[in-house]
Amino acid sequence: MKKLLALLLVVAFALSAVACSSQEAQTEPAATDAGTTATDDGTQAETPAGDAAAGDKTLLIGVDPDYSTFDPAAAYEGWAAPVMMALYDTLFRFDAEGEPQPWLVEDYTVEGDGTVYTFKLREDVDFSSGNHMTSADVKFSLDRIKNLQGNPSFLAADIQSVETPDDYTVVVTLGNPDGAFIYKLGAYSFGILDSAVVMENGGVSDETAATADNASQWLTNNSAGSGPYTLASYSPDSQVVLERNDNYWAGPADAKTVTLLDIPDATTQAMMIASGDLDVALGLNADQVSALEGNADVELHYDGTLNMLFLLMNNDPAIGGPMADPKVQQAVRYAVDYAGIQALCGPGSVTPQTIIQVGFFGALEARSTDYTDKEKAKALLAEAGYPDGFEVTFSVITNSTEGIKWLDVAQKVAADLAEVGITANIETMDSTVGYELYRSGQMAFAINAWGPDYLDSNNQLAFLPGETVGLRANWEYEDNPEVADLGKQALGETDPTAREELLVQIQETIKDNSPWLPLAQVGKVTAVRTGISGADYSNAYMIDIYNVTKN
Amino acid sequence: MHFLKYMTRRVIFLLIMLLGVATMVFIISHLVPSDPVVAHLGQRAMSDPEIVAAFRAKWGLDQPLYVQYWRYIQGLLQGDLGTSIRTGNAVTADLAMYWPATFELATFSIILAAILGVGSGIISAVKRNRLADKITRVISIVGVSMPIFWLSLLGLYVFYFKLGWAPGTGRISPTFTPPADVTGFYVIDSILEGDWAKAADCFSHLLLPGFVLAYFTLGLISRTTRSSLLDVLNTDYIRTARAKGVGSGLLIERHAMGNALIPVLTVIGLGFANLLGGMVLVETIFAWPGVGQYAYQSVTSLDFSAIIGVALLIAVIYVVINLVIDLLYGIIDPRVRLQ
Repeated sequence: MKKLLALLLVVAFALSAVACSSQEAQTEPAATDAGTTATDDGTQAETPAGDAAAGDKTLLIGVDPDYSTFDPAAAYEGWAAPVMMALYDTLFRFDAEGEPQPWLVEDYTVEGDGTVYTFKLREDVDFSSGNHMTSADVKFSLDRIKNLQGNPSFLAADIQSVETPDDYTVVVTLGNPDGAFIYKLGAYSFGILDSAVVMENGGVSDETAATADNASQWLTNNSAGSGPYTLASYSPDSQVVLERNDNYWAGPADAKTVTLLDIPDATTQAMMIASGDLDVALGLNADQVSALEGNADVELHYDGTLNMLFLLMNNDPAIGGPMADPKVQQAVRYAVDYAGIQALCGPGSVTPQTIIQVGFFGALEARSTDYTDKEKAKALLAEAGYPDGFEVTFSVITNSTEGIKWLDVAQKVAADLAEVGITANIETMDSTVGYELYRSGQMAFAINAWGPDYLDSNNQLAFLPGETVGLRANWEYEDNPEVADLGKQALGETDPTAREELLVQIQETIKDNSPWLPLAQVGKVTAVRTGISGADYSNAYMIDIYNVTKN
Repeated sequence: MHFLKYMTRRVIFLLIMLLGVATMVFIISHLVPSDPVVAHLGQRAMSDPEIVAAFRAKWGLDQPLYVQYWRYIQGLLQGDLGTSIRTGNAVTADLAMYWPATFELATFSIILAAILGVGSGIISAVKRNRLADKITRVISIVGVSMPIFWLSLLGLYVFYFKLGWAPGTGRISPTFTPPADVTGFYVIDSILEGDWAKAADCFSHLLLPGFVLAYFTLGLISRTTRSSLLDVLNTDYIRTARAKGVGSGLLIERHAMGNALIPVLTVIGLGFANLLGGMVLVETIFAWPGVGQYAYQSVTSLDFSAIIGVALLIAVIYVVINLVIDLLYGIIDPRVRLQ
């Protein structure tokens, strides 16, 4: 008996030793041996959908999320978007081109120099509770975002009043004209709540909401919307389960159940989609892609995003030192190897010329990678009085954007700058510490990232002199009043043609003269199993679950 | 009576220690030159003084530090660990939700590690310097020296991806709904529901992360068992027993193991506590929704109450495990009881 036990133990250990010795196999691209385990993969692939009857399709999406709430007026995380857009409808919805189209709204007019919006609502919309949607729900939802004083409140900060002359008409009055208001209304924060249900659960929309509202916790575990899905359950750090709303006014979605599985490790996620345990993998990055290329069961989509990595060159000589000199700033622009940066940022990445990302209304076309010119950079440095270059501290927060580590990109930048004589000494720091320094304008030279708060170029004007982000580079209003005023004008311009002209003028002025250097809009890889369609990356929703179908 | 006094002393010691841990972690987490506002508010919201003020007031961050500390300790004395800024739940509720996942995995893997570690340690000692000993020694050294995240990825790659023997990540396959919460152990709760297929599925999810964690600890257990048993086997009373003709199996079982187990028990206890405390990487790779992930998320978002809550939980675990080990000493070795 004991001998048998001993033998068993030895066998168990021998097995694990085999596992150790196959370390080399790990580095091989998985695709090459995918064929040999095809039968295993085949049976595994049955698990998610296999036991589901026709019409009861399930969809499994792998994510590495940041969400912690699904209250439209409190959530602000990028990963919340696909969930929120499945649970809630907005007055406007973004189409594939990124333009907002009427959704809960049938028709609308703008009057009063662009401050009074009158929305005519659809009359055929029911919430998943069975309640009928009326203007009162819209008023409740808009007021609640504004008054809850949460992360998305700034989107509604300029709303002066919301009136409801009848059941299907809503009149919104703004304090100032806002050419981007319709774009803001497409954000998931403006998801329309079933006011009766939310009030039953402690929801408050008036001025006291910041302290009196108690519905956020309830809305994190339940939904009260009219969207194509309802929230069946939310287990933090584990999964979100969505159940189809069969009575959805725009027609029911394809999959009966959608599960967003929390898989923080990208390598694990790649193995799971390759094995067929996921239908869609959203949390991959460039490192895992090579292992999936050539896998016949997995399609890879490469898309550009609006998430931009950029350099900050502090405009205050007391902080930025040589970096505050416009000639040095321009020299840095010439010194950076954009082709190399884009290679680091993954397929689909582009470099915008200015702070307005390619793909936004009025954006200039992408910066050519031929822009790099080390000789011009050296000449400019000499002109600025630094013929032998200089040393500067390069602050790098240990953070990443879509899986691309800022430190990797920063090292590339530092190497490029070394070629023209600038010694950028990288100083890494944790985000909890780094953001404080960044926000208070204390960094001389830094890399950082920016994802838009709402999908309009107006959002980017925060980088202009004297504005929120501009001040982080100590770029004061007085440093360039002309461009600062153009920015203010653009914010209030509601005529698209005039707005575009202003935006172009701003960009032409600052593209070679500002403390900002956009490095790249990073790429995004989405992996889907064959037979899944409609899972294309969307800047607005990351993935529009309502459009996803499974064969 | 003696036992009661002993337990009272231990409990008082535990309370003092918890207060100390809470104070230390409170001080350390507030020494970080940063602000929860940065971690929880978006760039736009941060720029709006009204929103920042509302946020600070809501979470009591507008009060001087000593007031915040006093409020926390007052709550702590009433069993209230505060509210997590990140999740919006009471920290006690969060820990109650995350803890069973970690506890189930750690319990499973420490049982595995103890069985395999003690077993292989005995073989090593008995077959000293023979092939079986050499093999187990190499394996246990590999276990101790391999980074656990690497072992996790390797295990997942070989047994899940290549061989398809183990299921993917998480505690349960998405085709099943999690069992109703009774013990918090999915396997046991599924059995209580009478759903054997579900129990088997949950158990299969435990295997891979359980083995990875066990492998890490069993090397230590195996080494300790071997050296401790060898020491005992060289003592006079064993020689006497052997001379009196006691067979080798009975010798180890009846005579040697009892004495050899004491240091092994210590190692198992510490190993268990370490498993519970150090699961962040394994939980991340296997997408296991446990305390490790909760701790990591809380630290990166400067969620003070949650950070202190996790620290207190780990402190309690260490103390409780130490206590259990101390009591077990008494069962194994009567001499300890007498003292």
